[in-house]
Amino acid sequence: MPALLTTDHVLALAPDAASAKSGKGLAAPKVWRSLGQNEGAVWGECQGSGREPYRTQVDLSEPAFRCSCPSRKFPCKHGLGLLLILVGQPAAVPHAAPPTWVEEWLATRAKSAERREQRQQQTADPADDGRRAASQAKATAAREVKVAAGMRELGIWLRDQIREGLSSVPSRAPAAFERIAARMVDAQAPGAARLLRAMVGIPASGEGWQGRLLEQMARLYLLAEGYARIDSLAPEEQADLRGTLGFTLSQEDLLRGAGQRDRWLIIGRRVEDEDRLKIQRTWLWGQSCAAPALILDFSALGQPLDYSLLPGAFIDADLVFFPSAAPLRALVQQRHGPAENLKNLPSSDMTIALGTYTAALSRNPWLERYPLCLGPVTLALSDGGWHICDEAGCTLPLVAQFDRAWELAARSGGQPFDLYGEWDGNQLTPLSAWIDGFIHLGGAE
Amino acid sequence: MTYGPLDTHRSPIWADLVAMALVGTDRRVPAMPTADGALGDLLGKIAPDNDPSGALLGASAAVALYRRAGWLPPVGVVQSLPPCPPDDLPACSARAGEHLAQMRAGTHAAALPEWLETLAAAGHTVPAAILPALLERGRTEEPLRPKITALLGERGRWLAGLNSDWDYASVSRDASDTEDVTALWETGSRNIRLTLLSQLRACEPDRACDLLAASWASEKVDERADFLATFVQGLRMADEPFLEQALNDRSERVRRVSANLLCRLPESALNTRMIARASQFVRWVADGKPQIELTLPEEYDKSMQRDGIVRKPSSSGIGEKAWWLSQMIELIAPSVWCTLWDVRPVQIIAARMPKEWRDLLLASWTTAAQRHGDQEWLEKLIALRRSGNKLGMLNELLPHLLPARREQMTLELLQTDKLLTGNHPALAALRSLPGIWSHQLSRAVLDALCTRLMSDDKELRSDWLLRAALDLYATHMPADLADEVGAMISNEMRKVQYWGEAIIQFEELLRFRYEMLRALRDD
Repeated sequence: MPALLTTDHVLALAPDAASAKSGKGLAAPKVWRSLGQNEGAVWGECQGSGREPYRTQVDLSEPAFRCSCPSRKFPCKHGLGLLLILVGQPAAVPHAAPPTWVEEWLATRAKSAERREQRQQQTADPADDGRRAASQAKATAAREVKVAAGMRELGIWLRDQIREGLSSVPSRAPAAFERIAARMVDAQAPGAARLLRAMVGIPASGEGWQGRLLEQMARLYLLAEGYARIDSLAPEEQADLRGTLGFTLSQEDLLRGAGQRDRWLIIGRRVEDEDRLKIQRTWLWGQSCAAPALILDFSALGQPLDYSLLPGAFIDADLVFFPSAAPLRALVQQRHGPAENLKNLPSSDMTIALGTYTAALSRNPWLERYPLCLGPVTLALSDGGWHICDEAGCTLPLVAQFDRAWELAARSGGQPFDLYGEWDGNQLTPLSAWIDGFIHLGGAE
Repeated sequence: MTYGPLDTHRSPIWADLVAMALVGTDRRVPAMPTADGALGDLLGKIAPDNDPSGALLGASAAVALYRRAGWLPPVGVVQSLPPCPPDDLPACSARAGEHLAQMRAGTHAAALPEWLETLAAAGHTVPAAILPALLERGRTEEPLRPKITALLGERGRWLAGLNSDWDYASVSRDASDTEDVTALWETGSRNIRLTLLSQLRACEPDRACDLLAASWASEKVDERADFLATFVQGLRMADEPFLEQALNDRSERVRRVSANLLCRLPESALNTRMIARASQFVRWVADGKPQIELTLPEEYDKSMQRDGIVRKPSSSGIGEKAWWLSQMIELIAPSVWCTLWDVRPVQIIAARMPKEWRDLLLASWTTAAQRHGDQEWLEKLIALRRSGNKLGMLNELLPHLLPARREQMTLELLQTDKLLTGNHPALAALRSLPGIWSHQLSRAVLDALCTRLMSDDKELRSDWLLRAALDLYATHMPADLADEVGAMISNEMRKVQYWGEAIIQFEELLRFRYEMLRALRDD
């Protein structure tokens, strides 16, 4: 939690636009029956439609939320409203000793944190480690056999599509994709299944679908063929291939590796729904190493995501990268001190930024998205939609779904600014901007 | 995507691969593509012999990655937004911004128009980030538009100029002095031109008239009528020649708008024609008890058509001839009849009329009184309706009374000893009062409300009309009454079944407005 929390930080926590809006509606001390804070927490009672007021509390160390309201959103509007008051009108929240209901919750949190730590220490027992590794190796070997069979089958399916010709695919989609995707799930290659399911919509995606479909099929072919020859690849390349297929690595093992200490700027966050899972991508940028890092977090719907990395702040921390030919995904190993507010965004012109993408893609052909720190850029509006231009006149298109371009136009007044976003090879999804301060764009306004 | 990395128009090799994949390798054996350099070396290693479909996939993977990795963004294909002129208005305070956020989130949203108005009066504007949402709101809610345009600074107008949905807000408030009016008139969208014309009518009506006259022949029918309607502002005899000309228009709507305007000019030729025409059919007979005789026009002629009288009735409830006559009476100022017959409105209303035409005559005079804002006629017609107990109809007439008189009449209605209920005539009267009510009237409303709440009769618990009106009252009462209201409303009232929540909301809205206005004024 940054020392100086801002409204943008808080809104970045909102699970969706509606929650952000309702949260802002509750950001008035008057709506609250009681308010209080100490150095670690903030709490309040808010009159809702029920007889008893809702009891809302936030543990500021992460932050973690709890509220007695029946909402399934997390954090709920009360939690957001409470934090917004704390940020906007701190004087309205008196310093006080926490009431019993807050005290109890904080105590349970402290206790479970302790238990977690104990568990971690217990698993560090080397004898245990040995047993675990042995049984894991056995399971992995069994899985590899299954995946190899699945990849052979995928290779045949892909060739079949090309033999018959892509022109007949629309009449067979989406059933054909669903069947082979289900087969990939059975073969324990969920990554391949995900890529296949993402292709279902391509035949109906309008002009140029044939090229888009061929590219995705070629990428899968590379995956299938690569797995057949995996032993001939370098360890990092093997890791990328296995990661794309959906093999997981033990985070505990990874965390024991050597960390990379830097001042990590938290510059963007995006949450997407996939099946019944929420996937949160938090993008970091190392100030000295001038390289990005990606922290992934998954949660089943309704479960809270990890909010400990707030966009708009930076942390002094050790990061451990997952093995890769173009390291990107990482875990926070250890933090050194509290988060602080960003002073600016890193930026470069488009040619340089795209050069880093080129370098990464040529090492990992399955790279799906890559962060670009661009600036100074200006907005441009043409029939096709919104674009950004840098000083050299280079142009990138913004995704059509980006609905805050008008807001960026209004805030920038047509003047250049720094923009950070995810590049998927075709379009940029803006995640944050710097116009007189940090603007989080990955969530609600 | 016209210029993406895998654009088939720019990459023949990728286009070939897609074409081969589309046909299928069963139907045609693919010819492996060739290329220079490293890509060529790689493609050369992919042998199509035994596995043509696999080779095609492999080559596609190589080419796609090659193009993606080497792609450079196009240069100079789009134009950046023009930079906004320097800001001229300061944004509102953070505190005021929070109030706005609350209203946009749906809490006390009824106070938004007042917030906008007060902010504009203070010479401030909204934070830039809010502008798109506000402009969008004005697009869907037309009544809010003047309030929104009044508070826009350079930034807001610049932004509105970039989006045709928001063009209602892109014309600067003084466009008529600072910009090239003719150019704006010739190139602007319909909304922009309407705004420009209204602005000009307010300060230089002749110039507006010249502008419209010059382009008149090339304007579309609907637009001609809308443009002409702006002449209501600054209307004067000098407009007559142009308006008389507009009566020759092919469009019925244009002729009606023009006739309406001309009848507001007592000395216009059309007014004289219309009076001469109508007075043939409606006559005053003073012998004995005064009475009005009426005959119907027999024929619809060209001159009637030209003077804006529509031939086909708008509803089936009225005959053609009666319809023509009613249109004539509606156009003529009602005071004309008083002069013509040398009587007061009260006498006309009380006179005997042919039974079957009485309603028609009174309805036509009512429309005429509304159009011409004739206060004496309005008063008498209101008195007629009150005595006849057709009270629901008052709301048609009240908005045309002068505001001070309207408020006075509302007060009279309130201070009868009738309990305030959902169908009390005062409710309609209160709805017709715009802006902030006087302290006197507000206190009278509160008194009546408190009396009603304490009476706790059976109907109270289902009087949704009155309950629904509370929100409106809370937006019209002076906000500085918040404390007084808090003191007047007892805890008992807050607990009245069905009412408690609405009462608390009423108090909160008033309190919110008090704080909101204070934040705006302290800025």
